[in-house]
Amino acid sequence: MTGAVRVPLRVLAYGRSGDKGGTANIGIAARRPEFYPVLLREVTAERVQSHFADRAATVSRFELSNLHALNFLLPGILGKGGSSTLRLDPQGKALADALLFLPVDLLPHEADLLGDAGERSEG
Amino acid sequence: MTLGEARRIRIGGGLGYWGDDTSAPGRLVRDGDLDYLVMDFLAEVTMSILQKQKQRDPTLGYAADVVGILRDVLPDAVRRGVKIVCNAGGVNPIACADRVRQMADELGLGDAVTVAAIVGDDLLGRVDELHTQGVAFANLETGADFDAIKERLACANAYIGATSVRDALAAGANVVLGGRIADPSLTLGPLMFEHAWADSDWDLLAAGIVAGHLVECGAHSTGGNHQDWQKVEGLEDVGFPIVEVTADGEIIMTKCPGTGGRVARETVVEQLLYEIGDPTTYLTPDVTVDFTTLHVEELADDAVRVSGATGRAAPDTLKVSAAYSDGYSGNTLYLYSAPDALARARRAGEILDFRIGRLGLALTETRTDFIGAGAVHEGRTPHTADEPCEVVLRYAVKADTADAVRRAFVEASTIFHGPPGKTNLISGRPKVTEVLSYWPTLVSREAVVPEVVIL
Repeated sequence: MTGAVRVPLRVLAYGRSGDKGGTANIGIAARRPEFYPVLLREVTAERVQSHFADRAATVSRFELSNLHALNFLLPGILGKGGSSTLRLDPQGKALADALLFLPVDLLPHEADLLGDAGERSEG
Repeated sequence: MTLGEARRIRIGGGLGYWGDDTSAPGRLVRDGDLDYLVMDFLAEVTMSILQKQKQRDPTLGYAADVVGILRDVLPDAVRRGVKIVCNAGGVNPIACADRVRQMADELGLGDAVTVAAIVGDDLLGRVDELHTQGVAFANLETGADFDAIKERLACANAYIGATSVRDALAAGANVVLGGRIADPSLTLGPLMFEHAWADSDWDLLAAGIVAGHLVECGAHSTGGNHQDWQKVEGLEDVGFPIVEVTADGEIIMTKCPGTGGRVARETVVEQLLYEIGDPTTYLTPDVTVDFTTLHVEELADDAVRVSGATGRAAPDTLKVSAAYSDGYSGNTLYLYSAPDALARARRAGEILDFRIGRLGLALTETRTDFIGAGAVHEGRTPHTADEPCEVVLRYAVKADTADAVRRAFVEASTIFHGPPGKTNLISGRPKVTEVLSYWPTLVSREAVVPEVVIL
């Protein structure tokens, strides 16, 4: 396999999101340790902010290399909190799903890591 | 159970939220070979609902589900020596403990049950005094001034830690009912008591908090709510989590035997990432925990070891969970069918905007969603469905008064004269509910003195 490949983030990672007042957090973890460098390079705070540009002015990223995971904080994305906002998904439980749709570009050697067709086909 | 370092305390998380599976605690007690059952009943604005109940009736104000749960659980718990720790006391732990005491007596358990209530976290009656003394109570997220909402405050509870749980157990309690005890501290308390961990054994306290974090959301760490839900077998009978914790802070995570669900690296990591901020600085009333030193290792099917927790001193301040009355809201749901389901729903939304708008009601917010046409992810999915067969128009309204919201919904019923193919998904008029907005803030540790009351 050669050539760059674009996949949705969920091919490389899983995750969970939740609320703390008006702030949501989205934690994502690499499905395999080899994918963690790709997450570090591709899933920057800037890219996450632009993915949620209509809802979040700032995004902070924290690294948990021990878990091959990243944690993102999105202050104010839930307004004044889950019990106050008129939005659907007031507690941000679906935000991890939304982030896992993020398109991620893999370098050729990284794309080779995907191996079986099952992983690729999600792209 | 053997003495020494290998002694493991086995703690089951029987409830992740108020309204969770009421059969799970009993199952854990009967099948889980537990030392402790812990249950978390409280969410951020639960306390304001409980304050309202207490204002109506001074014998209420606690999570009432606890009565039925303990009626089921207590006889077996007593027989097996399983102790129970929970925060079901809400804003009235004494009333909760009274009720549980009475029930234990009715069950004939009498002296076999010692109930402890933990009080001191409820600041609602002390806020004025503390504010006058110089506690700012500014909003922790926005910096906003407390005076803007002070008159509308509905609840204010300091998150308190594990030491009062430990003290209650040391006083001989086998049922501990607190109020706003921090979720993971419910688990740390028994570990401090059983393993004689000191208040400044930061790494050990951190391990106890991590163990608590793993069980505090019930089956969310055992396959429930898991991203790879297709891989989880037996989700219809998902088991609730159990942690075994040694005196040196090693955690083995598993679940109730004979149940469905899955405990694997992925389910554990997902739960570790849940509702955390800076992972090096996870603040609790007991210890500041660093999640970046944890080591997660699968030992066998449904057995994952979590080790390496590190901690440092807890902050001088305690977080306060407060909420204030912030108007009223409600929403309608109208289902539109093909052909042109989305276009019909959009046109209906425009009609509602016009008709409700021209009434001149003092609405503070309206919101239109088209459920079935990307309403949740709002364009963040790479593909949208072709013309959907059905779309639900959700029209939500917020105002300072309940009357304004009600009037808007009277007007909304004229939408029967709008586009065709409509089903009203809400029977009768939509419910109008009080909006309680969250006000996270801080208070100094010295201002909060938890107290154990034995009943």
